[in-house]
Amino acid sequence: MPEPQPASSRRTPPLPDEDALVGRAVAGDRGAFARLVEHYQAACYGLAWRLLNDADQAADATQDAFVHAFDAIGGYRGGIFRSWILRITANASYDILRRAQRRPTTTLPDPTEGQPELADLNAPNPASEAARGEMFRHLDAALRRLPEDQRVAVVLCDVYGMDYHQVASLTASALGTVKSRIHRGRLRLRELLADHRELFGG
Amino acid sequence: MHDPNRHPDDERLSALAGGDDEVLDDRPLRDHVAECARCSAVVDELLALRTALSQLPAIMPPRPLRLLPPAPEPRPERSAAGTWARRLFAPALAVGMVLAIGGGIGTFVDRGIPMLTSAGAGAVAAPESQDLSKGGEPQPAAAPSDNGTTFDGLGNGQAEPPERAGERQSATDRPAPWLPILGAGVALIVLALILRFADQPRAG
Repeated sequence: MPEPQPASSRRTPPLPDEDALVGRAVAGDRGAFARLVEHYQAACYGLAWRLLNDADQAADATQDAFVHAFDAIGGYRGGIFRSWILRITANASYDILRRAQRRPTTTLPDPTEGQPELADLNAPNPASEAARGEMFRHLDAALRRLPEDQRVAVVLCDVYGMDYHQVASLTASALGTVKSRIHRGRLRLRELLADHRELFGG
Repeated sequence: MHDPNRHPDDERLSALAGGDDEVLDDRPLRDHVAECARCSAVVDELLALRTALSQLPAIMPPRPLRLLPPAPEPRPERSAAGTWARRLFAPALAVGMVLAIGGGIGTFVDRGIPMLTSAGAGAVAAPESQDLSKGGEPQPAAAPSDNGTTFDGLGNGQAEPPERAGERQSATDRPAPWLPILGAGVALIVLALILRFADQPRAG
């Protein structure tokens, strides 16, 4: 499978006509729904890839999430569409993680497989973009080395901005457990990135 | 008074970097971090780490993803007669099969009885010669023959009373109901198949 590519070095901004598209999608317009998920597919895939550590499983989870979202869009009650679709993606990814835990395999993931190429050499300032790309590459590599429970908690909270309660609900864990996983995950990341502190400006 | 050489747990420093309410209200912790180079460096690094994590880019999937589930097939238009025929198909087929099977079994049994009775005489006569030649005891058996004579298994026939013979005769003369039932069943099955054919959706 070819390596996933970064959509951009910035977060996906909302579409200019997003509210209207969401309204049409809720009313059953398949084209409007397709436009929305196409816009957010890189964000969703990135979340799944970071949670699952596997490019193929991430694609499957994203696909599942789109199907679930299509089924659920009729009951969408407003809010930020990006958060809604990311929450569905996180659920789909976490379902795959749970299934994998029940059915452990002996093959270890290739730590380089599916790693995104983050440097954007066409950017206005190639040097600074390359440095950012380098930082993100180290960050993603360090995330992949976290224990799964800590990785899931840190990705959901610090990368995708969910609060403790949302993470606890999604992972069916106690609030204190989630906080502890996030704090231990952050501290472990800090250790893993100790040799690249200059990239983070810390 | 806090001890500047006694550092708080690093998880509390992470909570401070994460802006948790419970540690933001912890004045001694904040005072310590403000004065302790080691702890303030940890908090700064964790803040920088959180900022970098929040900026991690989206990733394009390596293969095109299907954005929508497959569109449901448009239901073919059915005529009112077709709907009516579709509703009748299963019951008509079921009733037809019951009648056909019942009628078939009934016909077979009805026609089989005279065959059994006529075979009964021969079946008794044959063992008589075989068993006696072997010196064995013949099995007692009694079966009415077609002419109303009952055999006792030893070759001694007894004439059946005329009234019983008359009853048997009138029973075989009565027209059996099974054949019409069988026919009705087959007709219903054929009708059900015609209804099924009529239920085919219209083209376009």
